[in-house]
Amino acid sequence: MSDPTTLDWVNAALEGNQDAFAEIVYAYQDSVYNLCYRMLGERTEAEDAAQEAFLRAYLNLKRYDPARSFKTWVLSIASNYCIDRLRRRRLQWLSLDDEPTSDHLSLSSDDAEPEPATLMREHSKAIQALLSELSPDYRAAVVLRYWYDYSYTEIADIMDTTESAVKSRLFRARQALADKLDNNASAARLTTIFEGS
Amino acid sequence: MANEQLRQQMQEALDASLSAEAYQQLRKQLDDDPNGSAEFNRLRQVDKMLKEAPFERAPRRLALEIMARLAEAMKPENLSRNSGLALALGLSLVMLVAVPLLVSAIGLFLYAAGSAAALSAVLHHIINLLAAVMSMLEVFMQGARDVLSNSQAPALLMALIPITGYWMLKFAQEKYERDKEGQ
Repeated sequence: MSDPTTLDWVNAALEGNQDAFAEIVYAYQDSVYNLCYRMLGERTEAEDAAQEAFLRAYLNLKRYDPARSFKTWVLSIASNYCIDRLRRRRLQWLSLDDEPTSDHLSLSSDDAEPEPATLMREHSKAIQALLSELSPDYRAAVVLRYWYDYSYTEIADIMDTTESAVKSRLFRARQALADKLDNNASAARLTTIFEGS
Repeated sequence: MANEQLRQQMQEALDASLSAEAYQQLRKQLDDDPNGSAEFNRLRQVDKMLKEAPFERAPRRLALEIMARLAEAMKPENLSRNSGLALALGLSLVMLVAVPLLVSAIGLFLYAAGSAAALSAVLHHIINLLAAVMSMLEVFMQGARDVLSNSQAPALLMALIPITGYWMLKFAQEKYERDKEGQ
């Protein structure tokens, strides 16, 4: 269940108060944006997806069940939108007969001692590259588990599936990532960065 | 390569859902299985990397852009598309109701053409019916608007069309017969 402040904002927004909805956006924009970025792997696309998720939330605010957490609800809108977008993207790729590459996986090794911010950015990008090799459903399960610390039950609620399906997706996703670590040279460098940090 | 049961236990260990005893048993099993042990180490590495992954913060402009898009979406000219759709739907529904009414009115008119009093009565009824249609138009417009926000409205409206048409036709005939008897 959402906190009373969020519920007040939701009620005010339902009455047409856009300022109240702006408060909701400010409160949840980081969560929604991070999910979109981790799902889509590209900042501009993540921004667009986050905007779309909030617009959809506004237009469907009447359907929001106050018994449910607002954050969970808005994240479920965002994750469903990102999954659809990834599936459409995959169809486009397939139609062009051009599989996605992991160009952005490469890490710069020019800097002998990278700044902490640069290092963090490189971690983020490299993890993103690994995530991008997972299917949309697996990726969503991993993101919701690791970045939002949701339980299997909560992830199942967000993804509209069963707890056992979530568990299986997460297990397979971790297994797939572990295999990538073994096979992917860039990912191995990421491991080195992590171990060094 | 680790067997499925061992893999399952490794995953549960990552989720911290193994009991201390089961975890010790797993460690013992992995001590005797170098491949399984290597796999568990890789899984733990993945788990650690994901746990330490940074949380990406939204750019500052994001909220402003969202509110701008929302304001744009809520502009009257953008809403007019929905209103236009509602109007078209409403008019179609009214047409569906009005056509049988008009047919019956024409029938009554032709029947009463021979009598001045009956003709006057029929014209009176037609005017009343048109007034009723106008008020129905308002009701249907409201119904059409509901279509945009309520997924059950179309089914309800479709069910109302034949019922309303039948009721109005019956009412018109009964009224005409009563008036005729009164004369």
